[in-house]
Amino acid sequence: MKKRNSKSVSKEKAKPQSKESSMNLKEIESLIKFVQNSGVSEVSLEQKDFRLTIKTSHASFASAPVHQVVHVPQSAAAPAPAQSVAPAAAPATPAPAKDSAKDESKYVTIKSPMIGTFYRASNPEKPPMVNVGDDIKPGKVLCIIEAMKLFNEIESEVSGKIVKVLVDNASPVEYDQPLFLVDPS
Amino acid sequence: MSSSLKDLTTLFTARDYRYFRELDSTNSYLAELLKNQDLAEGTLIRASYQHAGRGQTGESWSSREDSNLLISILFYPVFIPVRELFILNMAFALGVTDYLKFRINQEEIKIKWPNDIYAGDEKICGMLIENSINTKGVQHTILGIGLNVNQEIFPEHVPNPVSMKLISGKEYVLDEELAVLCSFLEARYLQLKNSNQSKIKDDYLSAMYRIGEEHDFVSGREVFRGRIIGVEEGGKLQVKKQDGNTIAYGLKEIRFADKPA
Repeated sequence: MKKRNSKSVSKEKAKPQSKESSMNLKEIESLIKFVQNSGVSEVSLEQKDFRLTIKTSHASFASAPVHQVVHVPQSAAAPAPAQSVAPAAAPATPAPAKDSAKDESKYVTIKSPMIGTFYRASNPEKPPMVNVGDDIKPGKVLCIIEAMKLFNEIESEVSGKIVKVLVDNASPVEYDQPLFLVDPS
Repeated sequence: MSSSLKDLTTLFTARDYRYFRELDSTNSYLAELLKNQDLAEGTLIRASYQHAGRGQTGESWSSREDSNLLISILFYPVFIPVRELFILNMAFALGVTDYLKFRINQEEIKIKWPNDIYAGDEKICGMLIENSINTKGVQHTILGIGLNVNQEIFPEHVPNPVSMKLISGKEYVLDEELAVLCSFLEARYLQLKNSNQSKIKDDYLSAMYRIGEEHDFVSGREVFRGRIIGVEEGGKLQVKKQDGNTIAYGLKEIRFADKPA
């Protein structure tokens, strides 16, 4: 498989493509500060192609340091140039810790790099590309996400075992939506 | 398997040219080939006949042996962010449109969203674009094209087909047409690569089938009258309904009441 020299790729990508992205990192930072000081519990901002939600853990305003939880979808956090180095099947994010007895924190979540429709096989007659219990390694195609007639094969970047398939075949997925849980050990 | 196309004027497209009498699917063949070796950008696979040619996820593509162009071309559009990939549909559909306008001298060549090519109200070309994506972004793109060239009789299950020959009355030499088609496709791809995306978006909008016209649409069980007004960044179709609302539809969420999806 053709692999591009990542250095030259990022150089190319650093060139601004289309400047659709609406906020830069500084603006987001100052918005977070603003929310932090305002005492409101949650602020959502939605623009074309861009959504940002900032939540504080409690709505109180009097008590001293406001502890804020910033939930910024990866899409939003990235300023325009970095956005182009889009986290595709972004691995490396530990699965959110669940309250269940099972410790899932060691698992890696593979997320959707785009909005589209999730398919587990390349066509309806074929078996799924991966099943729970399968060993995968980098480069293994895990699923197809169809987006407006573009058929996108999503490759794994990690080695491990598929623990869970989090989305049903042929259902719509959002950007960054978790698709698979992988046990990397 | 042959090795070169006559009269090729491209920089890289079809410089590696591999012809087969018959393949399951040129897209699948190219994808398989790529697993085991490095291939140059522009590598082109052509078959005279595909017995498992694919349309949208498994829908079959019918083509009479030796009468049409069934090809797959390899690209490395690593410069396009994953979220902006819809522009590939635009660029390649425009490439085919440019070629057909030049070749059959017919102004009624239009792009039916997202990437079918229509001559008048009939479909002359279909496309299947397959991208390989990982955390670094797009790894490669395989552009599959099925263009009806000399075919005159189509199976009944094909809804509204037409071919270049049915329009112009001329018989075409497939190899020669392929070389011309490649140069038009490459021109649009280079336009994309040179960051001329606004030109591509503008041209795509003006080439869209039925844009701005009042038509009946079907979405799920709803039938309504509206107008296509454009395409969102992600590729969704923007339709302004008669009630004044504009709604963006995904693939399979909308179709013309009088046309197949």
